[in-house]
Amino acid sequence: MSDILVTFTDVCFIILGYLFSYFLMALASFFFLIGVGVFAVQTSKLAFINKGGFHQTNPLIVEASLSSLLSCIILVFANYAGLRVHVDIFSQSSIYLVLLSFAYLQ
Amino acid sequence: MPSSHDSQSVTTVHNHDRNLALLFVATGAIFGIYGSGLGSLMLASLSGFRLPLQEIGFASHPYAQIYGFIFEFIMGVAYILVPRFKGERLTDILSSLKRRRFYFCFLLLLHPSRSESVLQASILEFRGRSCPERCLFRGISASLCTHPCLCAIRIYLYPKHLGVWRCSKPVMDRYCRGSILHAFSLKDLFTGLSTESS
Repeated sequence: MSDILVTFTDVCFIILGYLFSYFLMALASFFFLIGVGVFAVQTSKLAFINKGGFHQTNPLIVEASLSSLLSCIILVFANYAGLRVHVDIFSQSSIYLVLLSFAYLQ
Repeated sequence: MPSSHDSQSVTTVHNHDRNLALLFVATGAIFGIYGSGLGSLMLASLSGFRLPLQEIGFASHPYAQIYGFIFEFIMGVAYILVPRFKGERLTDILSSLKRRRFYFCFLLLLHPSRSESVLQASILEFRGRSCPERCLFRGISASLCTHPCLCAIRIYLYPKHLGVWRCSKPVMDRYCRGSILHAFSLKDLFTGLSTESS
């Protein structure tokens, strides 16, 4: 499910590069948020189970899930014109959030 | 000693996780190649090369790199590694949502008047807004309307699904009738809204 949602969103983003639409942008961001939300719930649930090896990684998995959710919320805020929130999703801090908090910790 | 059936099911689960991870990594790689290609074209155009194509698609370069490549790749790797660390299966969100849908519907059934007042307030709020917002609002409202109806159908057709709530069936009967009437009244409100907007 999350794979379909995330891939659909990425395809939408590529199409939007050629044909811009506020509605499709907001819809794609919502789908991305849902897809990443599913991922975050699935991995965080496993992180709270005290079973198997690598217990040290549990807080890192949870933190990575939270940061991925946060970056998706920022994406929705930036792309939904009705909210009137001006956020730069490709600013240094946003890229650090994705690269260091999500990619590196996960 | 584990039976052959158990080992077969474990292999199936591992294959499913592996396929899911491969799907993520493969799509991530495709978006990565696309994003990198766009990036190199952007660099070429910045360097003064004249490109035989329009520069309009360059806007999707950062999206393809960050949300296409990084997210999909990391999610794919996490989907295969985290369950293996724990020796557990991933939760199937869809099936757990299906199991809990009944209770969600019941909650909606219990508060028809509240949801109606929220909807009426939203209708007043959304008057004169742009078309996509109205479409989104109508979608949410339609789902709010259909859930009580679905719940009512489910209560009447599959009473055994009520489980521990079975003793409260007479009360729920009354709520079901009320919710169907409520859905019809909301339909009139939507029709009014759509004629007004057109």
